[in-house]
Parts: sequence; C-alpha cells; structure tokens
Amino acid sequence: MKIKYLILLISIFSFNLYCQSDYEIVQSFKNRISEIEIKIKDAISLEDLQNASEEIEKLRKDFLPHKELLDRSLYPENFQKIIDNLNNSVVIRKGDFVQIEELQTEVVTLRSEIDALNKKNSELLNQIYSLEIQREKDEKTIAKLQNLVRELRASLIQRDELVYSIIDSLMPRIDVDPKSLTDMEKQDIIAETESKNVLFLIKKSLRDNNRFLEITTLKPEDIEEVKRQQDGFVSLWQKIGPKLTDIYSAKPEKSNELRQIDALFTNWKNNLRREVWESIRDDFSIGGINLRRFNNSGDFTKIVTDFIDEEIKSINLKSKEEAERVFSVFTDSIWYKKINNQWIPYLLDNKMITVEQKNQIDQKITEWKDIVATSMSIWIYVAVGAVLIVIIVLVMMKMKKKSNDSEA
Amino acid sequence: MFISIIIGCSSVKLSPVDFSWPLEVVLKVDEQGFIKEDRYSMKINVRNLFIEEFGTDKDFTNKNVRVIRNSSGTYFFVSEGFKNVYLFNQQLDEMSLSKRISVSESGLKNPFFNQRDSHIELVDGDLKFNLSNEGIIGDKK
Repeated sequence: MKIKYLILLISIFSFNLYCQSDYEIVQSFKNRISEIEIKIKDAISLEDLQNASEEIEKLRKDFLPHKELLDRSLYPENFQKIIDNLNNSVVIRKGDFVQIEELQTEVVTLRSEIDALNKKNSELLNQIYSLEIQREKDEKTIAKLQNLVRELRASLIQRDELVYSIIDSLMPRIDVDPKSLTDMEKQDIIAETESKNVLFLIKKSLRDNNRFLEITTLKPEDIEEVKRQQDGFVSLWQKIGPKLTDIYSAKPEKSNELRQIDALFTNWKNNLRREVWESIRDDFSIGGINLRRFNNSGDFTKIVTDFIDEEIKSINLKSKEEAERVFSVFTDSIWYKKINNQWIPYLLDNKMITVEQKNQIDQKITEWKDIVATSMSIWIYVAVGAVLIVIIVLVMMKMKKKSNDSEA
Repeated sequence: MFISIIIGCSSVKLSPVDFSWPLEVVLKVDEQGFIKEDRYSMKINVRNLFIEEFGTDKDFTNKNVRVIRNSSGTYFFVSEGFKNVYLFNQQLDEMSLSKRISVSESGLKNPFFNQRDSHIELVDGDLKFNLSNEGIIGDKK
C-alpha cells in the first residue's frame, strides 16, 4: 500500500514537473533576477552582498535545466549573460563597500591631523590678534605678523582640505535621493555623520575662517585665494547640505545645527566682502589718507569723491607744498599704485563696483589734478613777477646811482 | 516576357522555414479588444475570437489571451474559460481561422501552451494535449 502511495506521489510530482508552463518558468526566472537585483542595490554590508552571491549561484543551479528555453526566450540576453551580469553587479557594489571601509580608515587618520591643525590654528590666531592690537608696530613686528598670517593661511587651507576629505567620505552613502532611503538607512548615515563629527568640523572650519578675516588685513591676491576656497567649500556644502537636512528632518536639534552652518556660510561671505572694503580703507590709511568707513560701492564712491571735493575746496587755504603732497600721495602712492591696479579689477570682477562708479572717481581725480596744476601755475607767475619786479627795482636803483655819480 | 517574370517570381520559394516562438505570450485584452506584443511587433483585435467562443463580445476586457506560433507559422489562441483552441493563419491585413480544436466540455480553467519539437503542448491542470495544425495528436493524456 505504501509503495503504491509512493508511486502515485512520484507520478503526480513528475507530471507536474513535466507539465510546468514554459512561460511561468521564464517569468519565475525574471522575478528571481529582479529580487536579487534589489538585494544588490539595497545591500548595506559586504555580508548582504555575500548572501546575494549565494542566491545568484542558487538561481543558476535551479534554472540550469531550463537553460535552452531561457536562452531562446530571453533574447537578446541569454541565461549565462544574465548570471554574469548579476555577478558583475555584486563585484561593482562590493567596490563601494571596500571604498567605504578604506575611507573610514582614512578618516581616523584625518581626524587626528585635523585636531592637531585646529590647535595650531587657534594658537596662531591668538598670536596674530595680540600683534594686531599693538598700536605701534615696528618693522620687526610687522614682518612677524606677516609671517604668522601666511602660516595661518596655509594651515587653514591644509585643515580645510582634510575637512573636505571627511565630507567626501560621506559621499558614497549620501549621494542618493534622500526620499529613496529607508528610515534605517537614514539612521546609519546620521550615525556615520556623527561618528565623524562632520557638522562640528564644518562649523569649526567656518568659524576659524570668519575669525581669520576679522583679525587680518589682506591683499587682493589673498582675498582671491580666500574667495576660491570659499566657492569650493560652498559648492561642496550645497551638494550635501540639503541631503543632510532631509536626512536629519526627524531630529530637530540637529536641523538647528544645520541652519547654524548655513548662517556661518552667509557670515563668511559677508565677512569676505567687508574684508575687501576694510583692506582698501587700510591701504588709504597706511598712506596717511584717513577716510570714513565704507562697506559698499555706493559709500566708497561717495566718500572718496567727497574727500577730493574737500581737498579742492581747501586748496587755497593750505600751502602749495601741502596741496601737492596730498594730491601726490592720494594719486601716485595709493590710487594708481594700489587701488586702481590691484583692487578695482577684483571689485569689477566680483561685481562689487560698477564701471560708472569707477569712472566717477577717475573723473573727480582728473578735476582735482587740473585744479592743483592751475594753482601751481599761478604761484609760478607770482614768483616770476616778483623776480622781475626785484630785477627792475635793482636796475632802476643802479641807473639812478649812475646818474647821481655823473652829476657829481 | 511578362508571363515569364510572373512564372519566375511565383516559382521562387524559401524553405525550410521555422516560424516557431520559443515561448507563448500572455497578453491582456484592452477595452477595444486589442492585444499587443512588442517582441514580435504584433497587434491584433481579438474581439471576434470571443464572439466565436462565447457568442458575445461582453467581458473580454482585461482577459488574458495566450498565443503561440508553431514552426509552420500557425497561431494558436486560447484563453481561460475557452472550450476550444483556435488556430489562425496570417493573411494580408488579417488572420483567418484555419481550425477550431475542441479540448474541454466545461471550459479550460488555467490553460497554457508550451513549444515542443514537433507540436504545441496545451496543458490545463491535469489535462494535456499535443496539438498540430490538424488537431489533437493521439489521445489526450
């Protein structure tokens, strides 16, 4: 009885196997492929990928008896090509994880380097600050200050590059559409971001860069370098900032931290613009021309042209030498040597001044030049006249003396 | 000369030909009665097939029609509830019924076709038929 039952079962089983729909076999194969592809895509560890590899092998074995059917039905693909493609996807995805692991090791090294540079930068900032506030600076102090500023600038750049590397290490995980991430994936990214202390490092970097601008006076070439660095940092932040905001949406306290970073970036941009105007004012000040503060092109144009107007008005109230000296310092030592040559191209390039405003100042300087020149020629006429009068008087006196002698 | 061209053209034949599809296609009927298959660039209105089978064209929307082609180029059509398998030949702008093979008195429940070396296999649960252009080969199993 048992044997009969067994034979019946075997015959039913073999009939079912034989009578399987080819269409269903192909569909089932396609479905298994889709499932494995999703597993590969969603893998969050090398272990997940190992499981996917095992499933590919199982798929291959399960469907090997139907290879011929699949080869014909899957045209232009074929059975082996599809299995190979799946295995290749696993290898490529493994590369992401290997990269992540390498980056994690690298990040640990980077963190210790950043800590050391942060410490060094703080010391440099303090030293520069104490030298800057000294009222009187001798040449030695100025040279020391310049060296320190140079050293600090290089160190800030070095530190920021390390911070960029840490941000880059987040990219493989974060460079996806946040809406496609599951809650668990978001939590993983948050954990990774926090373990690398990314938000703190960005804030620290921005604060140091802001402080650097606050306590130093920069030349146009330094400003251009800071601007390039700032543009690079802003562009990097624009890539990850909005994604982190989405990912952190469930954590209000961290969202606040992200808003702080946005505010620090805005400060940094504003500080750089302010620093440009401050540095221009310092260049006038070093030459002995003390102008009122300005922080935009309108104020700058008005304050400079007002200064020239004042000089023109008072030209007759001061000595010739003084008027000439002020004109010469303003034009030769400051305007044409530093402002027009170095700062105006930067201001124009960065749309911080218009061509009309620059022309307005140039026109005013020309007007001033003409008046100073005229004033100089009047003095020459007066001097020549005085000399002539003296000569005439002397000649007349001599002639009078001669006639007196002859009469005697 | 014209006659010789006609004779010449009509005498050229290409053979042998294997028109067989490796696999049946399962196609959903749309509201107008069309089924469409991208791989074989085929679009057919099957409304008359349902009228032929059920005597009415009601309720064909969203029904699955299973189609397969044998090596000689005949198309085999079947669908759930059908009592017959329909064999069609391709004509200019249309398909014409070449044979109707009765396979079930109560209607097929879950039929499917498989391509086999010498015939088309129709399976419905425990029932299995080997079909050719002429009809059922041998007895049903």
